[in-house]
Formats: sequence, C-alpha cells, structure tokens
Amino acid sequence: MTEPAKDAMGDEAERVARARNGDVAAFEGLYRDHVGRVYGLCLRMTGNPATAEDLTQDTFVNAWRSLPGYEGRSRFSSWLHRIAVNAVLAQRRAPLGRNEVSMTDDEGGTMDFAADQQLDDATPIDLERAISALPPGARDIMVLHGIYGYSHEEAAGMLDLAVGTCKAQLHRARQLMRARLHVEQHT
Amino acid sequence: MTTIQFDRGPQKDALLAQASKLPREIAPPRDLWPAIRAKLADQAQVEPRRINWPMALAAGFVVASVSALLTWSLMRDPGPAAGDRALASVVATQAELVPVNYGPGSALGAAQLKARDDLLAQFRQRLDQMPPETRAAVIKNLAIIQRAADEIGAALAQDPASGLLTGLLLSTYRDELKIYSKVVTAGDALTRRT
Repeated sequence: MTEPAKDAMGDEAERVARARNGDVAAFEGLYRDHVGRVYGLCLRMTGNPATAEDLTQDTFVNAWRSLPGYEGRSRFSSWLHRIAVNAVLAQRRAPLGRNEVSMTDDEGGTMDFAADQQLDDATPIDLERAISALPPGARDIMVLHGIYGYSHEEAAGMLDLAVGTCKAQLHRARQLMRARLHVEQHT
Repeated sequence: MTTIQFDRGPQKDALLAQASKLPREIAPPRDLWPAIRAKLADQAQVEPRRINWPMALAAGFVVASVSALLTWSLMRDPGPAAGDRALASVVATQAELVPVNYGPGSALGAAQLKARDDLLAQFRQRLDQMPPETRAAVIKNLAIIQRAADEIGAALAQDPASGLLTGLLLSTYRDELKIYSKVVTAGDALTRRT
C-alpha cells in the first residue's frame, strides 16, 4: 500500500474540497489516510475480516457519493466513522446478517446471538479477543468508546441509541470482559 | 434507591484504559482501493436536497393499517370463497405489484434483497388469494412505502452518516417484509379454512 506524499496532496480540508469536485486522486489520498481506522472499526464491530473489507469498501463508496453534502461541521474522520457504523448496523440488522454477528434490538439490547462465539486463535491480544467475544450491543460501545475514544453522547448518536443505553451496554461489556479475562488467566 | 454508576470514567477503569491503548488503525489484508476506484466510476455524487420528512415517516403507519385489514379479512365470513378468489384473480391481473426499490445508496446488501425476494415469491402466490379490496390496499400501501423509501434513500445518499436515516430505511425495509409476511400468513389461514 503506497502512501501518497502529503505535500503533494495538501491538507485534509483541501483534499476534501477537491474530492467534492470529483477529484478521484484527492479522494484516494483521503482513503489512504483513513482506511486503517475504518477497516479497524468495521473489523472490531463485525469480527469478520471479509465482511469488514466489504463494509470498508461500502463506506468509502458511500462517502464519495455523499461528499457534496458534507459541510465540514464535524471532522472528516468522524463523518467517515459514522458512515462505517451505519454500514455495519445495516448489515447486522438485516434478516440474513446473522451468520457473522448477533442482532440487536432497536435499543441495542441483545436479542440473540451465536452461543459459541468463535474466536480467532491468531488474534494475539487477549483484550482484543475478549472484545470480539462480546455480544454486539456491548461490543459496539466498547469499540467506539473504549478503543476509538468517542464520548457516550457521540457513540449514542452513531448507534442511534439513548445515552443511558450506551452506558448500560458499556457496564455489561466490562463485566463480561472481566469474567472472560479472569477465566483465561486461570486456565 | 440504589443508583448503579455505569460510567466511572476511563481513568478509573483499567480495562477501558487498556482498550484505549489498542491500535486504532488496522491495515486491511489487501489494498481495497482498486475495488473502490472501480465502483466510483458508477457512482454519481449526489447534490443535497431537502428530505420530505412526513413521507419518510409515513411508512411506519402503513403496516398497522395493512395488518388491521388482513385481520379483518380473516375474521369475516369467507362466503363463497371460490367466487371471491376468481374475482381476486381478475383484479390481480389488473394491478401490477411492484416490490419496493431501495436504490443503490440504501446500504441494503444483496443478501437482504435476496431475503426479500424469496419472501416476495410466496407473497405473490398468497396475494392472489386475497379479497380484491385487501389486495388493492396492500398494493397501495406498498406504493406508500416506496415513496418513503425514495425520500429516505435520497436523504441518506446525501448524509450516509445519519443513524436516524439508516434506522428509518431499515424500518421501511422491515415494514415491507412484515406486509409480505402477514399476507403469506393470512393466505395460509384462508387456505386452511376453505
């Protein structure tokens, strides 16, 4: 993966402006700068590398199509992340999106999920594995708030949930992770 | 009353502190740009326009009315069922049923649309067994859902970051499936009664 020379591409605002006018090269620069975070977000929320690749592609294609409507009121990265989260949620809530992740109800509560959550043995970090084993509602908030640093209010907006629901899900996530990490440490 | 403190702040929670140190960037296993670049050629950038919120919100009210109509159809005396069905078949040929089109920017994937189409096949069979007025109402309500999907889809194309719009579109999709499902279920019940 080649990194475009930032001097040549100019700063992000300029690249966004150029991309809004149909400059694909400028948009590629934005892609190169942000793909790691978008893919990381999708991978952690879905737990499936192939799905995360598809959703990452969808995110950038949707962003390209919608750039004329981006008014710069939020950071470009936040805007992009919201698109990614929407893509994940749309994929998850569909009737056939259940092979990779659990479904959540409108409040983000878990309706049901695979009882035998398969962990990727190649995942090197216990914490990552504990996060990937969380039910989706709890995992979403742990990823957005815990890893990516969004506030409860921001995460609630992204997930279209009440702030209180996000806090409850985070509480649940921490309990489940502590239990799992404790078991792993003692086996 | 005991208040549970859900949010203790990341500085006080070792688990959250560790999570915040995880790398935020993960490189995908392959360069996704060529595939994205190829898709951009087919994607026109969308100029902002105003959303018709009343129409977008209307779909939520549709399912209840269709549901009530189907319930009424099941509760009433079936009467000369064969005659009704013959009439229904005649009407069925007069009004074309068009499934809802969600557009390219809807975030609905091929799997979701395939699920809809699978249900649609059963729905078409059962709809022909419905009384003419029920069938007409179903088609009319699907048209309303289509208009709602158009409005939401247009707004979502401009603002794909909107969780509200995504939720509305998914609700619209689920509403469409509910209508199909209710017709299939009602058709099964009618078949059992006759």
